[in-house]
Amino acid sequence: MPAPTRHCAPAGALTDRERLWAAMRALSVFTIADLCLRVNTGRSRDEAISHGKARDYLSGLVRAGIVAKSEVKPFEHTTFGLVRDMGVRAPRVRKNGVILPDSGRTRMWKAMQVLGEFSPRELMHAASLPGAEIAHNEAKGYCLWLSRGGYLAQTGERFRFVRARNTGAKAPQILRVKQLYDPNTDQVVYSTDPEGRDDLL
Amino acid sequence: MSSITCPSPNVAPLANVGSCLSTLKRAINRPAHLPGIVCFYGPSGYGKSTAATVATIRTDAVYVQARSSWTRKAAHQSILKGMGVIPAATVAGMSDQIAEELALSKRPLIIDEVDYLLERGTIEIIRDIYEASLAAIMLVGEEGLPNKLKRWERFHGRVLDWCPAQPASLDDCTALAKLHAVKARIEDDLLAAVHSVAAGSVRRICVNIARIEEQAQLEGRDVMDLAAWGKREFYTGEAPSRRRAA
Repeated sequence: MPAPTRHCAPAGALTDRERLWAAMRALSVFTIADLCLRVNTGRSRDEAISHGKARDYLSGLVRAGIVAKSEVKPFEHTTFGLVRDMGVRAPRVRKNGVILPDSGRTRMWKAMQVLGEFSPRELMHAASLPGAEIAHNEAKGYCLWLSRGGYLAQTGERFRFVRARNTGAKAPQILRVKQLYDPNTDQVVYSTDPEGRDDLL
Repeated sequence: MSSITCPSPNVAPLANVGSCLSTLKRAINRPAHLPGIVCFYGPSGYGKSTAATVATIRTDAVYVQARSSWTRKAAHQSILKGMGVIPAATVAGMSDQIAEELALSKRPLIIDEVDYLLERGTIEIIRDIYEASLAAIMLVGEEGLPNKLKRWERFHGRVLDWCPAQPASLDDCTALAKLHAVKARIEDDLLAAVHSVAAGSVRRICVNIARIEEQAQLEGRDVMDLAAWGKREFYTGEAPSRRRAA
């Protein structure tokens, strides 16, 4: 059966899992090798997604009932089939199949657009879910960083969302980078890959 | 293992938050033969946006705010932006995309400031999206929304439920004080005064609570009551009256 044509492609820079999910939607039925081939063609070695990474995500999706796995036969590759297409957003699943809600920053990013004008405490209450609470410091820190970036305007302890800076559905992320600096030559000699995204899983 | 009681949800137990969320949930879980559009409306200041925020986060909804400048194209583009989809080139293409994405993801759609769509007559966009996806849709608007919608008969019949935002009650006022006045406690008699002066507006209650908290901190008090507050004025949202001659 040919896969039904999909009209929607995800916007923005894609994480590894989002790339895998987009490939699964396009292929509908696939082996791990098919999936990695599709995701990695035309990309450099550094950007390639390993079979192991694909397998990790798939095992979570299988346990969550989103992807079905064929019977394991000797000398044959296991094939997978997408059974529950959930739209462009890649499902956030743990390896044990538990589906997670949006990340804290994603929820705050959404909530501040609805609220318009708010204090970090109000934002924290509005964006918390039972079982996935947001700490006050987290809300405050996120607001401060966003106002540095011009996404929020700050007056006293309150913030206002700048509508012109609504860049899309994905929450801006605060990243940490460590650098090795040599004052003799005034050069940054080495820097680590950025860390600290909360929407990778 | 001892049983641990589930921590109470962190949301203000405000009446409007509860009714807005349960109205939207009713639309999401409706039986297939019922229509799936719901309306949440009321005057500004009644805490509609707080209620809409909680509904958005709890139901993982797609939220968009209508603007007076919304053409058909702009409306579709905004909705797709909220969903994180690269928009197609034509309005018809975008309409298909929205319907497909809503139907697959089973997310509800919340459209705020819907009065703009009524004024421009572009409300039919929403009906198209609804007919194609059968997704639960919540329209959020001003007080006169049900009346304005009457003009659009084909639309009016697809509304499952009307949920008016209620003025803030004294319970709401107490809940807001508990939530927002973290640095000082406000006594019940003072809260009652705040409630009566606010005339149902959540915004005015919040401004007054913030003022009282600030004053209490300035005076080094942990608790503020009506006697301690004295004759100081409350925020009523009205322009200050002319001072009487002493």
